[in-house]
Amino acid sequence: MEQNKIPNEGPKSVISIKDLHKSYGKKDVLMGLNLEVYEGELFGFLGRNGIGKSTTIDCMIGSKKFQKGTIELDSYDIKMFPIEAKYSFGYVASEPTCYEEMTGYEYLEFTASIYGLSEANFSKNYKYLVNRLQLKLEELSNPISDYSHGMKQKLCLAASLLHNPKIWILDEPTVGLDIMAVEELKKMMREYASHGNTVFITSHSIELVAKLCDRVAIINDGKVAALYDLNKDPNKRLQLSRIFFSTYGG
Amino acid sequence: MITLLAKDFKLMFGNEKGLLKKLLSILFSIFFIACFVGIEVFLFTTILTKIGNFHQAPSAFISLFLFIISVIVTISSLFNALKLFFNEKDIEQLSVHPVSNSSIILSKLIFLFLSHYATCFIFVYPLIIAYGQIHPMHIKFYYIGLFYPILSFLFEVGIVLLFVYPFYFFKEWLKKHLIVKFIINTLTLVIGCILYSQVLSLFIEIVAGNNINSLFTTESIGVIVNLKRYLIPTSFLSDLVFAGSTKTLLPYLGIALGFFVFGVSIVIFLFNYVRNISLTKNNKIKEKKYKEKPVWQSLVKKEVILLAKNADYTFSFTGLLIVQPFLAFLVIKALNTIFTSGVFSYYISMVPNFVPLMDMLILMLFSAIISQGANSYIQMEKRTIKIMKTIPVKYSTQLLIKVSIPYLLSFASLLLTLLVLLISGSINLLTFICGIILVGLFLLLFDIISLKEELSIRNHVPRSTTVSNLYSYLFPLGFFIVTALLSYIKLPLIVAYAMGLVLVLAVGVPYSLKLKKNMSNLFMELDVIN
Repeated sequence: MEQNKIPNEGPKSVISIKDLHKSYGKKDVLMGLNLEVYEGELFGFLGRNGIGKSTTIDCMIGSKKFQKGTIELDSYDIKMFPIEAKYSFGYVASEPTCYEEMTGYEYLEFTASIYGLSEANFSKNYKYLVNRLQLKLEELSNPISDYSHGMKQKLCLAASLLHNPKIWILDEPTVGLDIMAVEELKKMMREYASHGNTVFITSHSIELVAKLCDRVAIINDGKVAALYDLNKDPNKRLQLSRIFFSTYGG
Repeated sequence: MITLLAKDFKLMFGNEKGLLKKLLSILFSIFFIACFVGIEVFLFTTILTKIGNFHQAPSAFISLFLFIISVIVTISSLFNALKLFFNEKDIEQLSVHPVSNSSIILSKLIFLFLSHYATCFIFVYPLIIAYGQIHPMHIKFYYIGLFYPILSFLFEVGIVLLFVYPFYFFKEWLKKHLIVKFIINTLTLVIGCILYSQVLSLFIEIVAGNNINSLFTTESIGVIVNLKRYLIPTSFLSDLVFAGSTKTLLPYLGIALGFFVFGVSIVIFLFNYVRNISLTKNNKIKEKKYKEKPVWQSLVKKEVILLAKNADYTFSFTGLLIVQPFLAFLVIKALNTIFTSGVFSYYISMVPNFVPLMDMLILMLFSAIISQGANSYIQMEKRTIKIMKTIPVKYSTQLLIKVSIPYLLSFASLLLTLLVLLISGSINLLTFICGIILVGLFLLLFDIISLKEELSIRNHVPRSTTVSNLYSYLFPLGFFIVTALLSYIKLPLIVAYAMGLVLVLAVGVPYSLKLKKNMSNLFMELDVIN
């Protein structure tokens, strides 16, 4: 797998999007989007509804084709080496996406098996995630269709991290979660990034992104309209809402 | 009350959209019921005429028929009552509306009465007509017959209401015990098939003009006459309606009202119980151990779970696969009997390959219809298409496994069907071997066409089944008509089968190659289905 990696001499970029173009029929959604996200970073991706946040993620994770540009995940081109690139990330959709006919345990087992997890790794990660996300063991034996929305989303969060991906991509992950679960998720994201991994998150909650992220990008007109390092310029954390509205002429 | 009833109608019959669909659905139902009633009148008339000379036999047979009908209607009402009284979604929706429990239960009982009356009428009135044809009756007889379903409602629905909660509890239990559920489903289907075969062979004997006196011997009729005294309370109703004896009315009403009142009281209590207290789910945590396994094995397991845990698939596909050998055998045997005996055999002798070609036609139609139940490869994924797209497994591997599982199950069922037909002497060795190849390839192409249709589903554009439907009906029919006509000019059977094979390959190979070329694009363009 290592031989397929594109040599990388610059900063340690784990998500590299260059000149990304995506259109639906005649409607251009992404028009030359460029973005670099680095190792150990908690990156926020903001934009109003229908502006192309989810489309960008869909292109990143290999769920949608794009007309022009390149996307590299952990130095693997998603078009040329889709399988290798897919091993590098864990993805959580805004709506819980899992096989509802399975039990929670069966779904985790399925995910682990697809990523080729060893028994030891599964056991370790499973116990950690179940405790961390406060998944009830007795509920994991029930069909997922019986779960609440929040419980399903917690299961999806656990499944996305089971294989220890380098990149954690979360599209509006807090929808349907209670306050306690949101707080736990925030902690998990921070810890995850602190171990040298990368978290890429989109959210409607500017407050959440402002408090949590190291850097943030705002998308408009199919491109990155603004990019801020919130650690270098802490004032931007407080001003993020205003900046967001001014980007869209509000 | 009317609103509640309308809601229950939607709950039971679905909410068909579109005037044309509604109209077609109504016309189809009327046509189906008319055919069913016609067949019933014919069967009852024939049987009642044959046994007319035996003392007490007509009255005993009518009691037996009414008892069988009563069992069928009770089972049907049990399922209706289950859906009406213990539907969790319905209970949840009603809980936010200002409707009293008594109104809800009353509306459901009215609905149950209407559906019971309709079902009972369709079964019982043909018997009344048949009896009236043989023993000319006064108009009053037909008028009283209209009240039969009302009287039987009290007893049958009384029983239903007594057993609906245990049945609900049992169904909930079965949801957690899949192996038991599978065994029960299989047994139900096999018993259903055996009963179906009995009715079918009786029907064939009558249609083929054979002597059914061998079925109705003095001994067998004697048994049924003796049985009548145990068929309580349907024997009371048969005496009341058919013999005009009013002395059985009061005992019947006593028994039936007792059951009905008791059943209603129980269901009121349990409906409130289920509505207010959700059943505690007390699953034991099973200690499981994760085992590393190849990716393909996990994908196969996933597909099997999707197929097996979906109630529709379990019954419509898996269930039909199990009974296919039996059903195909019955139908093919029945048709072979009809076309090789009596007046038909003369005409068929001019088309020597007619019977084996017709058998092949039936096999193709059966296989395609059953396969339709499991070829919603993408639709069954819904939102999880996203999982298919993001897991590190080639899309071609995933799709291959998706198509393979139902195909292999269908093929195994086909193989078993052909073996049953060969062993029973219904088909010869040539048809057996060619059946495996021809129907197997026909099915494979059908699944490939279905996959193409599934991969073409787009946001707000549902699957178009035109090509697969045309293929599944027109190909077998076209093959049958052309080869049967050629059989008239003495075309050998093996050449006819070879023609079918060439035709499948001529259509299938270019179609599959084109799909392979476009598969990547089609897969990537797939939308999440909500």
